Amino acid sequence: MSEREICGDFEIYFENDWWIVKKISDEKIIGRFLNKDDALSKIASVLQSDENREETESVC
Amino acid sequence: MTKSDEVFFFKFRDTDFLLDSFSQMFWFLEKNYTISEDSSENISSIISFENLIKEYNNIYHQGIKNRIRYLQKFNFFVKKKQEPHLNNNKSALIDCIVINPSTTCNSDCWYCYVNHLRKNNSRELSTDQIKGLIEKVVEANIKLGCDKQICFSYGYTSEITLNFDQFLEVNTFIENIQKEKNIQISFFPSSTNLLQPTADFIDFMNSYGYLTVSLDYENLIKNKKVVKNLELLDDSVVKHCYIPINSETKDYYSIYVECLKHFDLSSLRPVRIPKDAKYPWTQDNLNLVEKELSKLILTLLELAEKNLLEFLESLGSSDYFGRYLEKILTREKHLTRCPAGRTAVAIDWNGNYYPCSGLIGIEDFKLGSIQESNLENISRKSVQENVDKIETCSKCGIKYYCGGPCLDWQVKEGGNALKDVNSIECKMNHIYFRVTAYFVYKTIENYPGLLKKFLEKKKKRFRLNYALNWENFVSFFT
Repeated sequence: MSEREICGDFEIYFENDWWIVKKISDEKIIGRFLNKDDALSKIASVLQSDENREETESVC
Repeated sequence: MTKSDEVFFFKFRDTDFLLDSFSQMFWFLEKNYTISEDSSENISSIISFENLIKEYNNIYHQGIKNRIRYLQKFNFFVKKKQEPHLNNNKSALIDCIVINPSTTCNSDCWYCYVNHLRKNNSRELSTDQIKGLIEKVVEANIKLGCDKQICFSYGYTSEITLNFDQFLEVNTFIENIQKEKNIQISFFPSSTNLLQPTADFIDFMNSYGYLTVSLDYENLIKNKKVVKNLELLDDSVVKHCYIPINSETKDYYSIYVECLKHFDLSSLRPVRIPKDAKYPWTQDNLNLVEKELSKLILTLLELAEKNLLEFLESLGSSDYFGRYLEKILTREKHLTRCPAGRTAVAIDWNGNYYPCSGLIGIEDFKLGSIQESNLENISRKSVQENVDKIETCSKCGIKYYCGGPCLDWQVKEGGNALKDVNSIECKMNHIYFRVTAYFVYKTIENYPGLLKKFLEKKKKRFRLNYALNWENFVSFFT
């Protein structure tokens, strides 16, 4: 296993020929990738996702 | 980097920040990247990084620029296509109605938005008219298969305790409709000044469990009466005080502390007032707001972890600092400022519809009336545009935090609410964003888990779950 690299709540490491992307807070593996760039792209995509980010209908 | 206009720069105290406006991610820059003291004096707003480079190009900025270019490979700082479900819908069904049956009040607050309409007004909306309106709204929502909760609120242009019999009668009517139609309807009382609470009002609040008192902080005589009247309420009632702040308001932290001696929650909020108001906002006195807000956060940053968490948890739902704090932590995207005119309307004592209570009486904003039109087909001419479609807003770094101009505030400033967007309100929002972002960065540095805990207690998602340190973030992706 390679040394873990951490960015906030996300970490990646190399294990058994796969780059693993893990969310630290809930220990959830969110992807396994053949190359590091794809693993980083996954984290970038999760961070930038619009999912559930829509406005709440707050009043003034 | 020219392919993107999503890179913004801002500065507060000794710290420089970068902001990706689309993803609403921000980073603090190491001291190495801080521009010189001389050149940074003029930067008191949120500016595009491209403009910063034009003016203050040096080796440090070139370094940042190269890193931004690199991160763009991962789509950071790149404008993306908006997901369809985030698009504004002008034909959305109206399911939130503010009913303002009268203008009757026992006070004369300097910040009241209906004072000028109150004079010589004797019109009132009858209980039967209100019931008829509620029936129509409920039927329309059922007919169109809307399964969302319908919300009514009552009495924003008057003092609710003076007309509380009507509130109770409408409340019973709504309870019956709920049972009969098996749908979810909420009915909210407005805030009160609590100067003359009736026994019925106190009884209702004791069972309702949540009271908001609107307080003119400077009027100490009235406030003593308010504090005394608070004693009439059960301890179990959550007591929230709302304090409009103006250009003369000083020492925000002391105000919060004083309020929390009597209330569970407090909200301080810059008030929307016209230029000829008692304490008008001007370009010059906005500096004082930044100074006072800075004083507040510097005081907060000195608090022990437990005390800071308690303070943050005591911020009420209308608190402007609290709202920016949540917006920054959740990275929630606000494509419009509020539901006014889109899914929410206010109705005045004459039966006229307006986008919000603050716009009542302005002919340009009149959407129709209960006598002339059904709620489904009232005019939507003044519905707020999606913030991306407003030219000035589309180039603003904090557009998704703010959601665009507040129609009411723009009108009070004398501008055209739907066109002119470069106002005092914008500058106020920029101040609140910059100061709050700095507070967030420092708090995460001092007490790493505190803000996540604060947000999760509110059942909201913490989205600053990445390295806020620019260098660390870039290193991770290289």
